[in-house]
Amino acid sequence: MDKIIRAENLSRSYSVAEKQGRGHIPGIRGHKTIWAVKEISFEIGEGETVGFIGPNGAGKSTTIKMLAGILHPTAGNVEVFGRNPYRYRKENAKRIGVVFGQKSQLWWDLPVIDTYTLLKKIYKIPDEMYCRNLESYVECLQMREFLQQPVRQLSLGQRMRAEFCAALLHGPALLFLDEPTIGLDIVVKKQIREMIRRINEERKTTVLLTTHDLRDIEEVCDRIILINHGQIIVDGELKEVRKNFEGLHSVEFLCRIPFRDDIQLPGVEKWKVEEGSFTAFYRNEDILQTEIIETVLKNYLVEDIRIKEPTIEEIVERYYRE
Amino acid sequence: MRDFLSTYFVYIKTFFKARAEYKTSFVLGMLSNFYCYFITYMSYWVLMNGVDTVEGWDFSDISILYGLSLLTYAIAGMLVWYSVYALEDLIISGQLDIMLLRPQGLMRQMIFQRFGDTFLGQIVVTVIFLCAAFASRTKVIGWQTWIYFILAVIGGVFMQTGSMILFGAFSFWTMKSGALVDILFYDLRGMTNYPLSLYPRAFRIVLTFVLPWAFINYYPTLIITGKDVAVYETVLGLAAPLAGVLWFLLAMGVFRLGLKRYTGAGG
Repeated sequence: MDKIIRAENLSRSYSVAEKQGRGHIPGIRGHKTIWAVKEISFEIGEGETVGFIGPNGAGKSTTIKMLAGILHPTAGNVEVFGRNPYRYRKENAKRIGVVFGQKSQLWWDLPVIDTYTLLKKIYKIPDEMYCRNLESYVECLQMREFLQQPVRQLSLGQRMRAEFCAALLHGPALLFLDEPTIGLDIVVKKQIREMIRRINEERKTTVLLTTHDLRDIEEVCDRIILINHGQIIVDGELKEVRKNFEGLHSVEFLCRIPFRDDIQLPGVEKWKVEEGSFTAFYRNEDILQTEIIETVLKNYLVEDIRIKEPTIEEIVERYYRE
Repeated sequence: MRDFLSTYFVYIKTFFKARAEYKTSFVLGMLSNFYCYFITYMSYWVLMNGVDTVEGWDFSDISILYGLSLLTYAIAGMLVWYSVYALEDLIISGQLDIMLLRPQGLMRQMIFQRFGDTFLGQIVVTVIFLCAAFASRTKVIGWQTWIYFILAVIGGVFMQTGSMILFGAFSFWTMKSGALVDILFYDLRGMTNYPLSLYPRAFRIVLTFVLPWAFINYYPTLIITGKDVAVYETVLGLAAPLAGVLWFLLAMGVFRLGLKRYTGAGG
């Protein structure tokens, strides 16, 4: 598999002015170096879909900016399409598409289609390719009804679909998606996820997605890179990560009778007792789910049972806290 | 270049389409500009009406002097004024990043992005007064002078565009550079709307070698109206178009340096 992105000990620091404490001449400020990204290394191959996650300020945006060539690394090496993205920014831009959930590249006062005409010029997209791409995205994202409407009249959901189409018109081989589903309703989110999956499957487009909605990751990505404090904490196949870092499964019993702590099940790690319910936490390899349920049902009059699988969310939450 | 023009043309077409959404504001913007500069010209006419000449300059000379400055300013403004002075907002809103992610040069895109339509009003006024000034001249103007005039306008546009870019680029280092720009560019350049010979020597030197606004209109006007008496005046006059291009290149250098700072590659 060809490597689209190669980062090696990639680092970026910022110099931040800080006021000095007592005893110094007022007005004189010292400088502190803050590492936004510190010596991260990873490779992304052609056609991979990578979820890039981490809490706010973890260094995600900084990394993406360096990959896109609009920020110069302080140290380390980075290659995108086999060349230095900073030096070959404009050349690489032809093969990169970007969607920012918080920024727009559409022309506010004009119908959506007019922005596309301008982008066709800017990216020098051949007529035939332009028509084919536009047709297929408009179809897939159901944009026909608002294609002729001024952008300022669009709902957020419509606008984001239009943004996606704008980023994909030139048929990029690499797609950076920076929180593209922020603020969207479930239906639009679903449409956009399907779209990403589809272009990844049909065109082998490499996708790097940052998001705080882990559903996006679960439905779109095969691999996750989790970063915090500018360093990679986890990097692996989504399935693997889930298996290795699995949290506790749980079964919740809704029951009016208070829990008496009388059930002896060696595989259950702990019980959580609440008003009107109690929950058993366990690991899959220690005990069977059915065994727990059976035992509890023998002893209690249970109204309802809720079974919970550990989600990627819990895994991530655990890492964010550490 | 062909590619640049064809893309620019598509952008201008699209711009006017968007502008048509706000017809009133468009027309009013144009009219107010027209009116404002028309009045300025008339004030020169009133001033000059009382006296035949100021230091040997009559109204038609002054019209050419002021016209060159305004015409080149308006053309430069049409190209870059709106985008360059919005650089600070482009940085803050992240729109600059979006432009950097496209396969075209940043300055190109800044020119494309906003056509300075309001400057059209100025151009119309200036062309009217320049035509009147040339028509009222008794001496026949030779073809060499016409060619020089065109070169001087091109050089002036380069210098004015360069100045806008240069002062706009300050946003890469420090936000809010407006007051400084007002003094260095607008106020000092305003001085060249009168014959430089009116001012003390020190001013003339500053306006020639430090902030070389005199190359935009003063030296070219000397050549066009045949007032270049001293050798240095002829030399500086003939060098004016070149000076404009050099100033522009300098400004682009500073702009690139600023961009480098923005992208964290230096400074």
